[in-house]
Amino acid sequence: MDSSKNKIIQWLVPALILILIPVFLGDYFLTILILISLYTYMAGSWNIIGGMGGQLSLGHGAFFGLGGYTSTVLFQHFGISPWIGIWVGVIVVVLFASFEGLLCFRYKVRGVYFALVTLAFGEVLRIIAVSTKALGGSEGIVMHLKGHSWTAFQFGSKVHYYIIISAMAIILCVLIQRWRPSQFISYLMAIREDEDVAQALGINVFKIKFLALVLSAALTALAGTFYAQYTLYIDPPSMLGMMCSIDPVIVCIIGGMGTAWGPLTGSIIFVGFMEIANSVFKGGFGGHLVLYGLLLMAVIIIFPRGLTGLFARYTSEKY
Amino acid sequence: MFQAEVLPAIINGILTGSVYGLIAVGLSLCFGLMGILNFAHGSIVMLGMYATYYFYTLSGVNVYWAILLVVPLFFIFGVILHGGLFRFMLDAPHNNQILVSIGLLIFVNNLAMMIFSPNVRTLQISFLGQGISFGESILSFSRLLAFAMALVMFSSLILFLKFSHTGKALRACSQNRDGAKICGIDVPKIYSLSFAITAAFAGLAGLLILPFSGVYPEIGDTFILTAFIIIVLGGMGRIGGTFWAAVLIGVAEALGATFMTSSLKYLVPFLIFIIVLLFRPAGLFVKAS
Repeated sequence: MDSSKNKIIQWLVPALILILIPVFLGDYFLTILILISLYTYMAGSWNIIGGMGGQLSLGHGAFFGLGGYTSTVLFQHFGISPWIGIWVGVIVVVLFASFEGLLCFRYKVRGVYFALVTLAFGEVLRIIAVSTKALGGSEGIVMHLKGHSWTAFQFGSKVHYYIIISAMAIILCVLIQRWRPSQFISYLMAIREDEDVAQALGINVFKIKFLALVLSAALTALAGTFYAQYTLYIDPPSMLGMMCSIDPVIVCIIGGMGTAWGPLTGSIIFVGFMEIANSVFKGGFGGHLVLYGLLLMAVIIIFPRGLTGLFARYTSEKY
Repeated sequence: MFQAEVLPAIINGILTGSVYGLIAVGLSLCFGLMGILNFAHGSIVMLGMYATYYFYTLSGVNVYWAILLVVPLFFIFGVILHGGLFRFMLDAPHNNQILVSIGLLIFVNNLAMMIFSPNVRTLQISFLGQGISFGESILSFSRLLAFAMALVMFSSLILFLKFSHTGKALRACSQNRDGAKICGIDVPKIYSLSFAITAAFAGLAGLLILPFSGVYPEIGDTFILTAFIIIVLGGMGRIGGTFWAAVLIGVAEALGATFMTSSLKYLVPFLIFIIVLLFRPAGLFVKAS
């Protein structure tokens, strides 16, 4: 009892410091910290099915966008608070991901084909969003501004957004860290290593993969609503574009797939790199994205297990 | 109804399908025989279009003479790409291969954005608009030529793989790389060659498409997903199947466009893809084992 209490304090104090210190920083640093937290959270969610389960989903943008679109449409057209919409979004995404998972895993769509099916599902949603008037079409939706309002999930300063998203990211990382030794994650990793052997050992492969996908999708949906409320504007490229699917994958790879703290390491490096690249190529077309492409290729060829993998021998995290 | 709407849609669909086929044929070689799902293939097509565009604007001769420049240039480009990048990925997990090619796609697209600017460039040549009139629509010569060249490219690739020594060696590598090595096949050389062919085909596809489409840096992304759909429908490494799948998708899209609002027609290939992948993951034209 006493030791578990100590452990909680051990986690709580650094978490509180992390959350509270930036409150005193300027807007620029807050923006960067919000981005780091958002990427950490999204990569952490993707990590469940992609890193631990080894199923390369290239369609997490669909979950992100569906979550954001659901809450925004409910708020815009029906005046329902995003605090309720966020959970409606989760339900919609859970249904969508269940459909996707049921189809993919029931018919044993694997590897490259799984990547392509998830990509196709994402594209389908993007095309629907572009061609539907009620969803704003390709112009997107600018949200009704309510000023500083807790019920409308709109805040005057970035501090509130920062506290929400960093708490989400840290809670997710800590939960996954604590959850890693569990049976579910062990099964998931066994499936990643060899699906047929896992099946032969009596693991219900379908059930484990299905649950992992749905859980990962539901967590991503929360980030979608957060991002929509943060920018107060949604359109198909920013919510459902290819980059929404690929960014979390890249962050995960930089940090180390399947590790608990990989997403955090990865997103600090990723966001830092992008900020530097952005300031180097100010105003030019696509300059920073050229470096982004190079970074992705370099990371996979030079250290395919990510930075955490590079230092794995010094830490207790195992693959 | 049939005469006025469906028949032109089908013919248009076949022509569009052959364009998709031009792009998918290189991809099919790359995925089917080397196992690499190259997301950057559409970007190589885009580079081929820019090469053709600048060849035409700088030299002023008939645009199709660009074939003498584009094919050798992209052959060499393919050798470089293989030697500098994909050589390291042959034994890597599929996931890493995909992500490396996505990295290449982002790199090439944005480099093109920096160099060529995001504007759309089109060829302004009067004879390209001419063609055979067919009902109310005109089938332009450039599209008919693209169709004919697609047939030539597909059949020459099939013949190459079936009868030539190198083609047989390539198929042997795809079946069992170690076995091929034991038989004395120079595996790295064969892979380098087939990647070069892939890139040369991509460049040629760009050349043939440019006269009726125009080019901008992200045009590759609009093809690439459709091309993936086609090679999966056609079946892994089945060049002939790829052609039929391309025509099928082209016709389905054209028919979709006549019966649905225009932007929803892009959904048709994806829906076909999802349905086929679930029920016949080995491809439409492969007998279920």
